[in-house]
Amino acid sequence: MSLPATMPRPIVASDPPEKVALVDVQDLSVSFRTRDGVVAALDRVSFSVARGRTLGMVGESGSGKSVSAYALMHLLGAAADVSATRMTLAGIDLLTARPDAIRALRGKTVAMIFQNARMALNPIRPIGLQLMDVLRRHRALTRADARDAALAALSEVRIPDPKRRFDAYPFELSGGMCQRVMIALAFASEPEVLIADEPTTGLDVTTQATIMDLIAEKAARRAMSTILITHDLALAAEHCDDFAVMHAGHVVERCTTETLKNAAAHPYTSLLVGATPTAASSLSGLSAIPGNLPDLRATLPACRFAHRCAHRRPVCETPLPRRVLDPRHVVACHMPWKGTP
Amino acid sequence: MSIEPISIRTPARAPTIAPALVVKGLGKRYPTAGGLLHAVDDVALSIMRGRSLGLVGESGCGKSTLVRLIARLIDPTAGSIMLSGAEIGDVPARRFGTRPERARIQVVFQDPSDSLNPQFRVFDSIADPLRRLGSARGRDAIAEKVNATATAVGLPPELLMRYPHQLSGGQKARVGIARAIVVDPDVLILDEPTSALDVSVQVVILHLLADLRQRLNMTYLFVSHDLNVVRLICDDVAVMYLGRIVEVAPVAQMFAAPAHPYTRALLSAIPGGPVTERIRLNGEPRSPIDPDPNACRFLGRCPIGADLCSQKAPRLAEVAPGQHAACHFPTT
Repeated sequence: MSLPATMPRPIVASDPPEKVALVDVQDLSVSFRTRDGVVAALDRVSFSVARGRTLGMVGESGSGKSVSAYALMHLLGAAADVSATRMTLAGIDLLTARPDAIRALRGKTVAMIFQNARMALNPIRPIGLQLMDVLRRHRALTRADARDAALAALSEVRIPDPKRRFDAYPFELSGGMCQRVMIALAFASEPEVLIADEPTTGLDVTTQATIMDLIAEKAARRAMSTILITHDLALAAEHCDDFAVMHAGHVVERCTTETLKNAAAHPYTSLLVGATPTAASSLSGLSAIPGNLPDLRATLPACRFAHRCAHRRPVCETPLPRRVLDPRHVVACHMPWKGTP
Repeated sequence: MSIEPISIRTPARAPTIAPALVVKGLGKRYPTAGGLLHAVDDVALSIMRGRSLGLVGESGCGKSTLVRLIARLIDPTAGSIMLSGAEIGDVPARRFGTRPERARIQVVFQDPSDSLNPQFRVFDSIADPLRRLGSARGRDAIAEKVNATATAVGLPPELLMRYPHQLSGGQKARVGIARAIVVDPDVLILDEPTSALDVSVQVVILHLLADLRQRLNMTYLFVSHDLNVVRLICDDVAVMYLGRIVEVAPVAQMFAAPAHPYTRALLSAIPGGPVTERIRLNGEPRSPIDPDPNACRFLGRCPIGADLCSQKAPRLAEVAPGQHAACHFPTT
């Protein structure tokens, strides 16, 4: 059973209204203290995901997508300074929650599919036991029940011959299969929020399609909220309802998928769309984004995109506005494109 | 992007009609505990000089083995590889590295961060093939050639004294291309050259590759699993499945009218791709160990899967002008 990705996700009657955000982050800033100075990795980043919806976080490498996810999971190390005016997950305030409360949340309420599954799995523990560990951590199961549940989880993600694979180590499985094990792990505790960090990077298109279908199917069935972190805009456009476009630690634009495709207001979003090969594009029609991400250790200008932007004006040196073009379309730009050039 | 005209190459050696690379009956089998693993089986390919052939297929289908065979990094167990009319398939791989033909077929490897020697400065990475293959002799000749090639791929001269860790992903990709083309190869094999790059850098590298091919009349074998990228850079595409080529066609033809069911599934899996109805492939590929010689390799995952498919393995046959497919029931 799968729903076409473009259909709205069904909302179960008992669910709170769609407006209720399962993930709500306001003005999240993260900086890292390094030997070479302070890296301003995130600067007042805001995003939210309603129940049952999928948010695509896109942008070049180094734009802060993964750091946002790690901050939400409280997985950043001691070198990170995290601040926010608001950071809630399924109604729980992450800013005031005690470490043990966050530990209970992690894996149970919010689960993460990490980049590069083979690296994220424990290399010296059979995958079946890794699944059992997670299941028994979050549910009161006997060993035998946990084993059955683990086998069921493996077959649910279409691992062929789960009984045989149960005892396999990650190195014995293909990349696509490790990815599926990772997904089974993430789903083991029936999370309400799933963070998928480049879940299909490095996999071929057919495996990618199977894995994305699997995530979409699960998300639809449980009205789960998903954050899909990817640099593949074409993939994200097929699977996401909303977008947060990131550049150099800023969310430069938040909008729906329709808006992203047809009426992106931030110059960076348009350039990103224009650089993505699609089935319709020609090589001459694709253009690169000029310049590079700024050095986040330096003193940064108000608009971190200004030095790459063709529409730069003197006003761009003043603090960035947060322009609400419509309730679901927010852009951090002085010169947004509003439909008329 | 503009690149200064350079003279890193003498005029084209042959008219554009001749095939630069012809592969026939190429096979590679590995003995395993369970039997013979058919990594590459009876592969035939031909690329005309100056053309670009895309090679696509899922991981484990034998793309990388095929590329390593053609690049003469490993030895085939069957078949022939003709480079500009000369057989190179019978030279043992361990000796090929010092042969003059080494310069004529070069590879751009997948991840530029992993494939550059971290202890070599950019200059030495590019100069190394010249020194080893003797394509340029003497300090001045080598420096001149390295500088010209760096300019051709858009590497600023000030980067030549840097180490790989001091370069961006796009710059490393340029170094990977520069050291492959510095010895003026006839055939350039590109193994997923942009898969490790950001979209915006990918565009720059794709433009560079298209431009280099045109200016240097080079022949590309372009391996990728991103069909949207293959469509942009290639003239023809070969689809590989479990060690065999299942379809070859001009790129536009393949996208407009895929003949093999596996090709259709591949195209339908591209986000925003040309085939809107998703064809799901169930199950895993058949085992490549001692495959049934009388069954289609795609059987079991194929939505068609008729009786004939388990009795007779389909051969590559022309289904439309220029389009070949190995299927008993091709869509035409």
